[in-house]
Amino acid sequence: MLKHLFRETPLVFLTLAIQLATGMAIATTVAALENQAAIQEVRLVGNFIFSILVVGVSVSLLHLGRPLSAWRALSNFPRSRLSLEIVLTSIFTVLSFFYGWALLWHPYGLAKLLGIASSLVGLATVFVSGLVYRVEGRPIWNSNWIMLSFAGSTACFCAMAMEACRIHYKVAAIVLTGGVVMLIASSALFWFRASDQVRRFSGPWLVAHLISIGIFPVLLLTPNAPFGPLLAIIFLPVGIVLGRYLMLAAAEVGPKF
Amino acid sequence: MSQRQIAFFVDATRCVNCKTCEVACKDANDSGPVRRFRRVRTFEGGEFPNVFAFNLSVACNHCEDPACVRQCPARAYSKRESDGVVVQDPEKCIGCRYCTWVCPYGAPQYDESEGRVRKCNLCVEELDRGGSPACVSSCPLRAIEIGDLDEVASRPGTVMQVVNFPDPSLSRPSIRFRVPKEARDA
Repeated sequence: MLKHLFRETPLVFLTLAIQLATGMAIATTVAALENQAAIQEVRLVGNFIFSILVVGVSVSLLHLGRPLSAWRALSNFPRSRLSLEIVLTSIFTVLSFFYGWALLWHPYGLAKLLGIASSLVGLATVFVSGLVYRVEGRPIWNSNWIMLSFAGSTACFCAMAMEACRIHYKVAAIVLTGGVVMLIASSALFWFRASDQVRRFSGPWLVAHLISIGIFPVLLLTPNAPFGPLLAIIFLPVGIVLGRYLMLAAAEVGPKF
Repeated sequence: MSQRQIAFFVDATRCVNCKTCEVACKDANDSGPVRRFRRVRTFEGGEFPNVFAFNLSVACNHCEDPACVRQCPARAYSKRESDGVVVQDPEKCIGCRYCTWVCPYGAPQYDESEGRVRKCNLCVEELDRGGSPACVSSCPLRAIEIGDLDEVASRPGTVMQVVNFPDPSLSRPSIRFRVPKEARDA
């Protein structure tokens, strides 16, 4: 079981990289549109987007049995959802490169346009990557909870990036709360959809996931919580990663024909 | 849409789960120790005293609307115009395993040592020579047959849906069954 699970680690990397990059693109674009003074932070976050996507795509190649033939994955565009996801990810990666460049050399001018484009393409990529998992051969995935989970992760990453870009605290808190609510809702939908076998397997994982994603907003909202922000930065991504592994494991454990 | 659609006819009232079809398929396709293109499954159901059990030999159903053809990013799957057989080209396969997710029947099978997926191709080379697939010619009880889908579907006592079988509307599988009466009524 664990061998099957860790075989899917490249997909965990890819989906989380896309969602993290999209969250960062949205946060830095909002900062640019508001003509934020925290230009160094926005530049730093904005220039990480490209690197994150390159790492995510590179690691995802390890999921393939024949990585050197990966170029063939574009062959069935746009009919195949997987081909569509790859095309959108490629466009997002290219856009993010130019967005980072624009942030360095043309702060808040050309960067605004590229930021908006990157954010929209990023959101489209998150949406399509959610659709990739809506498949009949894996009944546990063939439901809206996956899309909710992907949207929730993106929102949480966006909120963290907003904090880094020093966007107004209340905006980040609202986005974060929305993200956590979506993650909790997706966990509930997953639980209702799961078979008894999947529930027996996933119970402890789900509890760990919910505790981890629940700690961040509590620490954020608790005044003077010791090591609050640091623990929050650790626990939320850990919770999201746990949730992603759980999603992939459930399909292996769950009933298949 | 192909001009003609070949379909499997599986007579569960004859199948005794001897697995000769599985072995013949493995031998014909040299599919190795891991992959089982054809699998004989036992299905049970009903409530006492009306319980039933039957065996079904299932491989690729060469669906009329195959999800693998639609979703394979590398176009490794194609549906033949002449007879509707869904053929997989292992040379084009990149080993993404997406077809193993989208197929409701578990037909495509991944081999880690090869790094690619393969599936039942209905022994098309033999079919083109006028012969039969290995599973059909090897079954000692003639529980598996192939024929035109229209002819197979019109046989008396034939059903498209059996207990625990994925919803046929998903991909319109080219397979029909004859199952015990109790299983039809369940």
